[in-house]
Amino acid sequence: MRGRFAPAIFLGIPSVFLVAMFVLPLLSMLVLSIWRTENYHIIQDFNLNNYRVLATETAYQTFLLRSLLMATAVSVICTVLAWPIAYGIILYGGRYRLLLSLAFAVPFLTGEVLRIIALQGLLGPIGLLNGVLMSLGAAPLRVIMYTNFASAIGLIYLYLPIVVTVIYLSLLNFDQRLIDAAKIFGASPARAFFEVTWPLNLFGTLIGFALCFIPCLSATLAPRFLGGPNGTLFGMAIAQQFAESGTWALGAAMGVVLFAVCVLLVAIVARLLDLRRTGFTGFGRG
Amino acid sequence: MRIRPAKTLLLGTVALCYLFLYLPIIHIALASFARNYTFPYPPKWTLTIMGRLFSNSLYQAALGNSIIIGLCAAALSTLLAGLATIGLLRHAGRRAPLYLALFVAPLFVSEVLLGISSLIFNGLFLGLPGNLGSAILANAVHCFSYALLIIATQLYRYDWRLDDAAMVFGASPMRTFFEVTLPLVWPGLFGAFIVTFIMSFNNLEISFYLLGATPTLPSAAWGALRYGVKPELYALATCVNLVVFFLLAVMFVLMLTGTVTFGHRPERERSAV
Amino acid sequence: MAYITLDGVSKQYGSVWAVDRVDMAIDKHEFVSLLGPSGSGKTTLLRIIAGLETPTQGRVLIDGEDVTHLPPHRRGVAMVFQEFLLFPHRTVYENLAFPLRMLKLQKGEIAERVDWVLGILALRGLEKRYPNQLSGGQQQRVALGRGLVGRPKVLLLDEPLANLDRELRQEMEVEIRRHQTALGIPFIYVTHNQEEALSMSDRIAVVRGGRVEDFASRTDIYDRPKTAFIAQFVGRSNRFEGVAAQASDRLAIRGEGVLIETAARPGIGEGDNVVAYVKNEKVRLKLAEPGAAAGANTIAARIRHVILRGAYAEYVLSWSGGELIASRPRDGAELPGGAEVTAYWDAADVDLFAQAGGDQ
Repeated sequence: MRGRFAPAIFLGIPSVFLVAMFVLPLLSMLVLSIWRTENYHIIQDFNLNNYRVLATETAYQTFLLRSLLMATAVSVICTVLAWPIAYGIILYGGRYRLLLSLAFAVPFLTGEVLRIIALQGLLGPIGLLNGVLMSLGAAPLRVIMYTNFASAIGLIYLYLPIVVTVIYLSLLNFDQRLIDAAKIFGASPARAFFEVTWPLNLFGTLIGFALCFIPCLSATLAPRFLGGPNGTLFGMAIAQQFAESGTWALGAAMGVVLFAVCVLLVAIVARLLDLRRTGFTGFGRG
Repeated sequence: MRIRPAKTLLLGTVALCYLFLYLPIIHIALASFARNYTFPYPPKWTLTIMGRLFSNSLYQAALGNSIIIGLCAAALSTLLAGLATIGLLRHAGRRAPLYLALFVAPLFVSEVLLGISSLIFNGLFLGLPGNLGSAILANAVHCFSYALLIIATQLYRYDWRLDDAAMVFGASPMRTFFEVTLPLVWPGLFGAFIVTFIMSFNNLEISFYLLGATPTLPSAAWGALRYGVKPELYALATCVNLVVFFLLAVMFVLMLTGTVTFGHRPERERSAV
Repeated sequence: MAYITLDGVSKQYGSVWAVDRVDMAIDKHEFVSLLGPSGSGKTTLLRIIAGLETPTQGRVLIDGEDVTHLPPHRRGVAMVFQEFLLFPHRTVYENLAFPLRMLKLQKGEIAERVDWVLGILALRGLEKRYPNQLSGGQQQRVALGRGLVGRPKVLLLDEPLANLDRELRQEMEVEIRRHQTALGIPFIYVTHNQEEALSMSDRIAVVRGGRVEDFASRTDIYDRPKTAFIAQFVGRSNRFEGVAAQASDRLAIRGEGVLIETAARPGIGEGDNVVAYVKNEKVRLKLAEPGAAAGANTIAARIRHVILRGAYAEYVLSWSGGELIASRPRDGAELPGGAEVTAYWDAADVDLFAQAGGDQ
């Protein structure tokens, strides 16, 4: 389907769709954040009041900081766990590789709410863990549930599958024979890993990290149902502006902050990362 | 055979993580079929919990809405992502990185942000009340990027010269598309449709803000969860898990028989023994 | 004493012996080719020497040291791979410096040695390029340079020229051999291409089904093939089947429409089924003389067409038994297509083997 109209159809339609349904909403959020709402109507007077509130009320700073900490911790743990898992499946999965890798997709696809329910089944007051303890005659454990620790476990549970999948795909498309080459030229197995395997899969690892970090940063469900009273995270606070308190403009400003933090982090990583150094060979493929 | 500590360690981690992921799923599956649902070991089988779930009219309405959202968002995002992938690989030329950046950008914006920004845009700027249509469109944005990646892995190795070959032999562009291109790319489209259906079916945070009072399965579950975990929720999660299992089993069989690849490569043959 | 010794080396995958009781001894200044069809086990044999595979049985000795259970990075070997396997995230310079960094050399010495390799392989000016910015031939040179730069005890080459086009390949053949002579280390070269093996090697090991059929000088392999397989696989030959008959110190083989005479061989006797090979360039041609009686080692044929190969020409002949090919230098006396000719050869140029049951 060549011709002058082909690019307009193939690239134009999806682009228009994304601009209308993705870019415009984000822009409208930005615009709303410098206006204000009254009774669910926009009042168009330019002010930075929302940002002033965010800058002065320490609660929001705490939420953001806590979210950043939580997202960093969870993403690091997920990445550290995902590497041996993905590598193990690649090395020893044999003909069960496909089954093992798809098995990670099942929990990922069942949706957050349902996975939170499943986690409640594990950690909750009447869950498996306490059930086992009580049937052994021990007292039920109350320290795990409704703490930041429980939130973290919940987030790891939610996002480990996607990190494993991304790193697995990266390793799958990595030419293992390069390790042979490194060994032949004198690299010990550990050295070969750091000289070849790690740099060549760094890009995939970062993608996996980002796909865990970004949703964790704006997590709403896990902290709400698993976290404790001191567990409010930034995403959850945003949700509250829209659901309970109706302060949409403030929520929009918080959304802008969240978005800005994500963009900033991606930009920093993109700046630090030399794609050539990860074996990236460009997009073009006629 | 020597004992290899590295191997043991790796496989141990793998096993533990599967246990971590599947223990809760299996636990609630047992619980939803047991009278002693708090600690079903061993389970005393019963179907009353499932019965209660299926007779609950709220969940029935919610199920219908979720299916509508899932089907429409999946169809829309698969179609658009299919167009976009072909456009990227064939027509983008030097602007490919630019388009790619736009097309995968939704991956890097969290669901809650997508939800609230769409709510602001629809509710305040366009004055639209909550409706299924807005929810479908917003879900399609999120699903679009995933669909794009899935289709791209399938199309990446597609040899576009086949198109030219068909046209040299006199096939019209339309005919070429249906007789040559489509049969080769349909597995990618199919995979993308299944995955995006499951994603938008199960989505809470995007749908929630755009639907107003219309319930979906996840939002009904969310509503109920606020009042504590009920065995019906276990049953609901188990039902959805079973459906997801079934759909992925279909994909597994397709990938096993080599109909689709999604970047999965069969184990490299030992090169020239 | 041999520099590299393979002592009863075998490798089993499942129930298949990919390498089966191989003994070889290679000298320090030797260029050795492992020649065989794909799947013959030659690459596995090379990987065993490299340490990338552990043999199921047998020993590998390099420079007097038993390295059978030594991992590849402690063997001091180097390898050039068919797919080059350059590190895509490293520049040409860094790829070449890699083996030296693993040897923990000083920065200055690394720079010196890399510069030496850049020089001998005509790679200067490409130091800062990444592998995917190089042509196939340049990548090949970098791969070879990475093999040479660390001055390994032995360089293993796994079909390094298979991905290059013909002209480049012939250029590289000369170059590889030159570097081997200059460095004075053994090269072990795996290939399925007999021309490569014949043009570079001192000795050739013909590998088939995991076994070494013969390990001998290249002239022996070419001129005096030890088995029917070697006769078939090395060089281009015409093949005749027949039954042997003893005639004093000579054998007469009666095939379909042809009588072949050659010296008697041990192990072949009256009534044996045999197969005979005559190399294309050993078949000579002359214009047919009417009335001449057909004797032994002659065939009456007609030239179907002539293929020009540059320095020589191949004559495709048809005769009562099928097709026959004769090649001869283009010395000006060319025979026209369609001519009736007599094809003949010397009794000494016949390679004769007993036909083992089902072996073909």
